[in-house]
Order: sequence, then C-alpha cells, then structure tokens
Amino acid sequence: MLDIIIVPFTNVLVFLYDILGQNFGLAIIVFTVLIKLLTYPLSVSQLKSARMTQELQNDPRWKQIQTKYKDNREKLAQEQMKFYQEKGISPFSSCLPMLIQFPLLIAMYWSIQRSLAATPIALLDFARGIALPNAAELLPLNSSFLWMDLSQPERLHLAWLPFAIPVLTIIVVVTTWLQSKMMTPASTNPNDQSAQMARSMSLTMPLMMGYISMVFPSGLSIYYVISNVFGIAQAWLMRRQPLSTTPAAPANK
Amino acid sequence: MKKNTLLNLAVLSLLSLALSACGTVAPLSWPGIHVDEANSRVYVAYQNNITALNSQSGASVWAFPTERDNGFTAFAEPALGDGQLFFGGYNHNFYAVTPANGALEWSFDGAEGQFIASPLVDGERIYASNADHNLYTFDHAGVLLWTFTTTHPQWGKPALGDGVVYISSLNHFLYALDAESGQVLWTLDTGGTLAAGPLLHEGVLYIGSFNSEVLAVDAAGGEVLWRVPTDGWVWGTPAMYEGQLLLGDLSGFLYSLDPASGAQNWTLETGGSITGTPLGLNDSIYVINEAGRVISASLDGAIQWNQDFGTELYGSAVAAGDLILVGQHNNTTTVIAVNESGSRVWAFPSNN
Repeated sequence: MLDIIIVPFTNVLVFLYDILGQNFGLAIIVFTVLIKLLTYPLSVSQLKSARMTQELQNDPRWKQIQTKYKDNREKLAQEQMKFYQEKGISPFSSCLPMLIQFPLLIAMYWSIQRSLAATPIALLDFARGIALPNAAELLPLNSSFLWMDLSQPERLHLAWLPFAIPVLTIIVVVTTWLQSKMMTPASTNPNDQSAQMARSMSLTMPLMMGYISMVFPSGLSIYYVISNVFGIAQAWLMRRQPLSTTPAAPANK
Repeated sequence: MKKNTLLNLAVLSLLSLALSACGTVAPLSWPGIHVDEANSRVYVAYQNNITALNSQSGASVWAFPTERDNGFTAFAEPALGDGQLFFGGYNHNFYAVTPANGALEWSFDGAEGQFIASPLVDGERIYASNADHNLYTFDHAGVLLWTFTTTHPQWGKPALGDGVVYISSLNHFLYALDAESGQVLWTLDTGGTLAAGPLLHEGVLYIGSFNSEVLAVDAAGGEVLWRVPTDGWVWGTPAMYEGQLLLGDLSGFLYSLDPASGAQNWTLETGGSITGTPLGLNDSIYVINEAGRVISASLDGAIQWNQDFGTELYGSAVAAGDLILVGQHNNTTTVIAVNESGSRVWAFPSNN
C-alpha cells in the first residue's frame, strides 16, 4: 500500500542522485528539504494551533473551569474539551507534526533500501518502480557519503579510539529532543491533557529515533537530522512572530 | 496507573507499530535449488535453512543448521563438489558440509558481505563471489587461496573453462581471471549492471545486462562478438539448449537466439518478469515468472501449458529427473515439484 508513496520517492531520489553528481547523500538532503517545503503550510498551521492552545490557558474562563472542577477530573476533562471545541482548536494538534513524520519516515526507509538495493528483492522492487529512462546506467548507486555507507547504520571509527562512535545517532537524539521542545507549548497546568501528551512525545521520540538511527541505514538518519534542523528553524522563526490570527470567538449561548 | 504513564505507553505502542513495518523480516531473495547428479537429492537454500530433500517425494532428509538460528540466512543455490556441499550465507559466512547428513566440515567467516551468488566448484577450488566486492577462492579444505576485488558487489555465479574463471559485477564489468593465481587476463565494460554470471559455451561467454541487451563475448580475449537488444533488463544467466540460446528479461519475454549471430529465432511473452535461467528438458523449455506461472514451451516457442501457482516465482526452474522444481517466494511453500504436464507432484513443506 505504501508503494503509492515509495515509488515516487524512489524516482525523485534517483533523479536527484543523477543531477547532483551521483551523490546519494546530497540527494537525500535536497529531497528532505523539498519534503519539508511541501509540508510547510501544514506545519505552520499546526504550530499556530499549538500556540493558540497555549494562549487559551491564560483565558479567564479556562482558569475558572480549572478552579470549579478541580475535584472532578472527568468533568474537568469534559469542560476543557468543550472549551477547546468552542474555540475551534484541537488539543492534540501539537503532536501531529511529529506523528505525520512516520509515514514519510517509513517511505523514506524503503526508498533508500530500494535505491541502494543490497538484496535481489530490493533490486527487483527498484526495477519494478523506476521510471527514469537512464536508471539502468546509474545502477549501482554509489552509497558512500562522507565517512558513511548510506546503506548501513553509521559509526565513526577513529584510530585513537577503541570503539566506534554513532555520531548520527547522537545528532538525531539531540535534534529530535530540541525540535520536540521547540514545538511543545509550555503549560503550567498539571492536568492539561495536551501538554501531557506533548511531554510524553518529547521523551519517547528522541529515544525511539535514536534507536532507529542505531540499527537502520544511515541514509535514514540523514533524512531525519535535516528534517529536524528544518523543524527547529521553523519553530524558532514562528516563535519570533506574533500570532496573526486570534482564537475564534466563544460561541453565543 | 497514572495518566502520564498510559500516554507514554500509548505513544510507544504507536511508534513501535510504525517501526515494525520497517523491521519486518521479509525474505530478501528467493529459494536457491540444486539437484545432485543422480537426481536423487535436492538441496534448497531459503531463509534460515539449507534443507536436503528426497527429490521424488519432497521429504526432508536433513536441515542445516539443526537448531533454528535466526542469525543464519541463505538464498544462493548450494553447489556440490568432491564429496562436499558448499553454500554461502547472508550472514557473511561460507560453509562446507557433508551432503549425506549436513554435518559441518569447515566454514569461513572472513567476508564482510552477503553471499548472493551461488559458488562455483571444480576439482581443485571453490570460487565464491560476495557482495563485499570480493571473489573468495578456497581449496577443498577451506584454505583461502586468493581473492579478487572489484569496485562493486558480485552477485553472479562465476563460470570456468580452460583454467580461466569468469566473473561479473554490478559495476557493469566482466572479468577473466587465471583460476590458479587470480591474475586478471582481461576485463570488459558491458555497459550495464550484471546481476548474474555468464554462460560459457564452446569458447563464448553469453551474458545479459540491465542495459537491456545480451552479449556474446569471446572468452579468450574479451572481444564482443555480438550484442542484441532485449525489451527489458536481463537478470538471469542465459541457457543453451538444442542449439538455441535462451534467456528471459524483466519485461517477461523469453528469447530464443542463434548463438552464432544473435539472430532471433522467436520470442514469447510470458506475462511476468523472468529473473532466472530457462530450463531445457526433454525437448521442452520451462520458465517461471513473477506472475506466479510456470510456462512450458516447445522448441519453436509455442506454449504447451501455462500453470498458475498463485504467488511470485523468481529464479530458475531446475530439473530433478523428469520433475521440474520451482522455488516459491514469500509463501509458506518453499519448493514445488511439477511433472512435464504441469501437475503438482509434491511440495515442500508437505503440509502446504
């Protein structure tokens, strides 16, 4: 089913590889930037929504709900949801930018696997989906980039160290954590469901992505690092701008 | 349980689910099948086992390794020689076992890539191409004699004749090496990726490439004698049968060519990618394709029967006496034996 995404991804990657001097690392970087640019409007609206959620928590009516139902968690949750609905905001919106990464990440994984084709089935999948007329001339794709083999998990071997350093894994963990922090609206309310979810994400995502970087091809880690850096820059820029839209007016009663 | 913990668990479960889609251990290749000269025993490499089968019943005789070992995977066709069975694994190791019982005789763990190619065995040496760009050459005791390095992985089974070993690489090149020393005698840039090894017949090498063509090359000097375009990429090694050069391509065409000139005798559209070598047997030609079909054709290219086995069929059909053995990919059945009428005789495992 994911072929709908994987096949075009693979074709674009190989096309970029061809025009970028047959450098697969550069192709992944440029492709990641293209994906981030394409999903930019979505990310902006979600970031805005998250900021609006944060600002709503300073609303007198929100505070009134917190005080009134502080001993009834179920009722409190209901009223909070009702309040969010009135304002036209989804409390889970801040998690979405991270969650939509997953289909893209999986598609990217398979596209890299197919393009670098280390096994017969991967090469067959590549042959089946590739539409570029000069694809046969490009094969086999060069998987070397800097010190890495993009088809293998990355480790930096230094002569003076007895062990290899997973440099990309460390960068992935740090940038994922930074991005989560930048995108998570701060909340002073311990019962705030959306803040709890966001906090959970900011803890689990870096660990999970670090694990993926440790065991999966380094091409995937490059995709994720560039994606994170783009997301961090985007969040930083958004923070510097005032919100251009205000929350919807409360519904008349 | 705290709500935060529940949320954490929910998020972790979601991420694990997504991750598992990447980590699923799908078969990386298709079964490699080898039949002994007496047509009595079949050796199958697939996933976590090398299995020896009775060729007439499909019953399992032994399996290697004896205990399940997820670290061991093999797909390349094993090879027999000098009373030993040889095979390479996707775990980067190369093995020699006793054909009668599968007992390990020796193994080699010095490679850094997968053994995608089937090894070539002669009376003195074993030639094993590897995805780490090396050809490893051993004597029958397992001593590494020499290696030859190419710029890219070697996926094709070498060919041997008159003291010269011929290997192909994904880097488009065909190499002729002195079998004793590994010295390069000549090289040829074929212009396309070579996923399989060449066929050597009467001093001529025949090989297909991803440049959508088949070439005839003089084995002595490496000169191209002729090259003929095909409709799609050519994966499998060509076959010679009854004076016809036979090969298939990924567009699903089966070709019969005149080996002397490359002139086309006939073509047959099979309806699915062909990745293996066509089989000539008892005046018929058998080929399998990705559409799950085993096709029997006459020597003039007319379809005799066309049997659908319901799942992708890759690699080559192999003869075991009058039976035609076919490996199934991505299915609970690994090998199917059909007779010359296309009827299933046995399947392994037998409960499928």
